[in-house]
Order: sequence, then C-alpha cells, then structure tokens
Amino acid sequence: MAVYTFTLNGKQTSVEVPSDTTLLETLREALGLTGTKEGCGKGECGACTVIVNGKAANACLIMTSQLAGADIRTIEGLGSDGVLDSLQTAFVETGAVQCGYCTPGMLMSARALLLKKSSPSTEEIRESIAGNLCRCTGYAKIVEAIRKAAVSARERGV
Amino acid sequence: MDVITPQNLQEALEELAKDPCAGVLAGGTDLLVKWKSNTINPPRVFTILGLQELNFIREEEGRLCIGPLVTHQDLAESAVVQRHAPLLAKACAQVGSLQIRNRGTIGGNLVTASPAGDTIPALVVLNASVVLQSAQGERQVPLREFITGPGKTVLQPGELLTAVSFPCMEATEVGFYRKLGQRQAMAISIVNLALKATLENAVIKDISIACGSVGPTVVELKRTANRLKGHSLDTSELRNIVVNAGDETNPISDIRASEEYRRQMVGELLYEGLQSLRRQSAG
Ligand SMILES: Cc1cc2nc3c(=O)[nH]c(=O)nc-3n(C[C@H](O)[C@H](O)[C@H](O)COP(=O)(O)OP(=O)(O)OC[C@H]3O[C@@H](n4cnc5c(N)ncnc54)[C@H](O)[C@@H]3O)c2cc1C
Ligand code: FES
Ligand code: FES
Repeated sequence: MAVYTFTLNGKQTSVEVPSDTTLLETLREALGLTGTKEGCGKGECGACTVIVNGKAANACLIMTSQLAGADIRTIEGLGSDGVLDSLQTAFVETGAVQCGYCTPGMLMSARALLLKKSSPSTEEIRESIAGNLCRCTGYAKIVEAIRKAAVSARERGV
Repeated sequence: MDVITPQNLQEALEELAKDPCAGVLAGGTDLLVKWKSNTINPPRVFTILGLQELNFIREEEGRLCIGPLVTHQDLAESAVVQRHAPLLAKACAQVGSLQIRNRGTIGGNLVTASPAGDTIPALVVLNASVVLQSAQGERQVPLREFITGPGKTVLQPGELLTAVSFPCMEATEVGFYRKLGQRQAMAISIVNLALKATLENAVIKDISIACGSVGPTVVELKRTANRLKGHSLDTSELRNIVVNAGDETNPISDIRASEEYRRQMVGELLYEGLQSLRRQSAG
C-alpha cells in the first residue's frame, strides 16, 4: 500500500491503495465515486472515460500510481450543487440517454473536446466519441446534444 | 504486481539492471490489457511515464528525433512531425480511439511489435532507427532489425528504448499512409500500408513500400518497388504493376479477413497510395 495524491474534481485528494490499483478501482472502490462505469475493462468501450490533465483517458488502463500530481476530472465534477452542466442539460433535453450506462463516459469525452475546442465540427464531435460505445441510442442524439451544448455555451459566452 | 516509479532515467536504468525480470510500463494500453487477462504477470514493473527526459520531439541535423513517451495524439498533432514526416502523423492519427491515442506511446507501439502496429510500416519507410539504452551504455539499431517476429524484438532485459529517429523528408519526397480496418475508429488493421517516394517530374526515382498485418512482421514490397522505379505516376502501367503486389506478402486468414482479401487489398491500397502521390506532386 502507498499513498498517492492528485487533484480530483478541483480538490486535492490522497488515497492509500496497492500500487497496482487502476484509477477506475480507486475511484469506484476506494473513493466511492461510482459515476465512472466499467464496461470492458480493456480500453474498448469508453464507459470509464475520465479527464486526466485535460485529456480524455480510459480509467481502466491507468494505474493510480502513475497519477501523482495529476489533475483528474470525473463525471461527479460536472455541474455543481445539483445544477447540471450544459452538456448534461443538452443530453437530457435531446434524449441522448437511454439506459445511461455509456453516458458518464460520453459526457467526459464531450467535455474534453469542448475544453479544447469551443466550436467543434460534427466530424470532430464524432471523432471525440469514437472510443465510446453506446448500445442503445444509435449515436445521432448524442452528437446532436454535444453540438447543442457547444452552441449554448458560445451564446452564453462561456 | 508492484508498480515502482523511478525519479529519473538514470535511476530507472540502474534499477532495471538490478532487476532484469521487472517489466516496463509506459502508457499501459498494451501491458495492462495483457496483465488483466493474465497473459503476463511480472512481479514488478517500473513506470517510466513520468520521465520527462523521454518525452521530446526534436529536429537535429536533418533528423527528427522522438522520445519513446510521446503519445500518438501528440505525434498526430505535432506541427514538426506534420512538416517532416506527414505519413507518421497520419499513422498515429489512426490508432485506436482518442482515449488510447492520449495514453499510448510510440515506444510502447514499437516494443509491442504487433504485426498490425500502426507506426511500424510508417517508420520503416522513413528508415528509422531506435536507441536502446541500459546502465552499461547505448546502441543504435535500425528499426528493420529491431523487430524480429510478432511481439519479438532485440531489446534485452535491462534495456529501455530511449529514442526513435529518422531523416526528415526532403522536398522531393512524398508519402502516404493508409489503414484498412473493419471500421474507421478502434479497429485493428486488416492491412496497413506506408509509402515514401522520391519524385522528379512525377517520375518515381525511388520508392519504399511497407505493409502491416500481412505477415509476422512488417513486409516490404521490394520487388514491386523495383518495378515501379522509373515509371511516371501518370502512366496506366501502374495498374498492371500493383495488381500482383500482394504476392510479396504472406498473410493469414483470421476473424478479421481472409488471406485472399488481404493480398488483394495490398494492391488496392498501393494503387490508392500512388494516386495520392500523384495528386501531391501536382501540388
Ligand atoms: C482499445 C485499444 C485499441 C488499440 N488500437 C491500436 C491501433 O489501432 N493501432 C496500434 O498500432 N495499436 C493499437 N493499440 C495498442 C496500443 O495502444 C499501442 O501499441 C500503444 O502504442 C502502446 O503504447 P503504451 O505506451 O500504452 O505501451 P505499454 O502498454 O505501456 O507498453 C507496451 C510494451 O512496451 C514496453 N515498453 C513501453 N515503452 C518502452 C520503452 N521506452 N522501453 C522499453 N520497453 C518499453 C512495455 O514493457 C510493454 O511490453 C490499441 C490498444 C487498445 C487497448
Ligand atoms: S471499461 Fe475502460 S474502456 Fe471499457
Ligand atoms: S444509452 Fe445505453 S449504452 Fe448508451
């Protein structure tokens, strides 16, 4: 066991876990943040997507011990005090959620894209979620929701 | 599995020398998948991901030198790589998904030595070599000799791959990279093909062609390359030359595609590549 310290959703966080604990296990089991999902456990489905130092990454393929000092954002860090993030609102309003299992990962991939590009093209939106599988929606609504969120953020000037 | 974090390259090399059974962990997109499926189970791994001295892209005396920790996404987006080796940027952009490209490194791609590895054919036509460093010293090995079989390289216990380098492409050179998979994202290639050619008024003076997923390691189409030399990219002869290009490869049938399909696609991708070179040479 060792103690690892990083910034999680804006707060300095320390956890004590074995050195071969994945970030996904640390989030879900050591920290009780179960918003991040496990699908395949091997990088293929994107259900576990989080943002590490501004970039989308699969939490199932990162060791917690590789994250000392990193800045990590999870689905729990979107929105605040019960107010939804603009992407979450757009997903709800567009009907981009069915069973919801892929949704946290989709939202984090989309957030990572919008962090980098405030006006992404449809092609860029599709590319940003190419590593996120959804077995329900058929993706069209998800792409539309991300586009809507980008437009509304621009209109609000944020 | 104990994950140990050396503080610098020197320390990593010294620790590896003492503990040759230990593994090396970079982005983890190959190693952790194998570890989770119990294909490998090293008692200890050294994570080198934090070693900033292994994360660089430099232009040095006409060569592009790339640190092993540079990720596929950083390579795909690098202006220097796009200028001096656009076909490598293209190959990196085709790897997995954004999540995988944000973590997976070029060093990990080469050491994994998968027959389908996307950077390998690109780096072969670029005439790349790798630097292998241990506590005892370093050696430089041409990439063509580095990979000896599927998943096999000449890397010795205690050695790290510490750089990849190749000559920057010249103004007279043009390149191409194409991956054929079952879907555009996240697919292991059925066939991939890299090309680099020297042109003079659209005539092929020199050409290198390398394909992945059609043999145990990357396959270079030397006979076809020889037949193409001296031909203009505008001639209709090209079709006849590329049609049998697949005969130089040795593919297998698997769940992704049959041997026959792969062989045929080698010729098709090559033809597509030559058409792309023609468009590039026309400006
Ligand atoms: C879902 C998914 C999709 C993928 N799609 C593709 C694809 O389309 N194309 C493709 O080519 N690959 C693909 N890969 C494979 C993988 O992402 C790449 O090979 C990647 O480049 C590996 O780099 P890494 O840093 O993650 O390596 P790691 O997993 O950290 O290491 C891989 C191997 O290399 C060794 N190693 C790493 N760096 C060094 C070094 N500097 N010195 C010595 N040894 C070293 C490790 O010990 C290990 O044996 C995919 C993987 C996944 C999980
Ligand atoms: S659980 Fe991580 S990608 Fe599927
Ligand atoms: S909504 Fe069910 S998997 Fe996407």
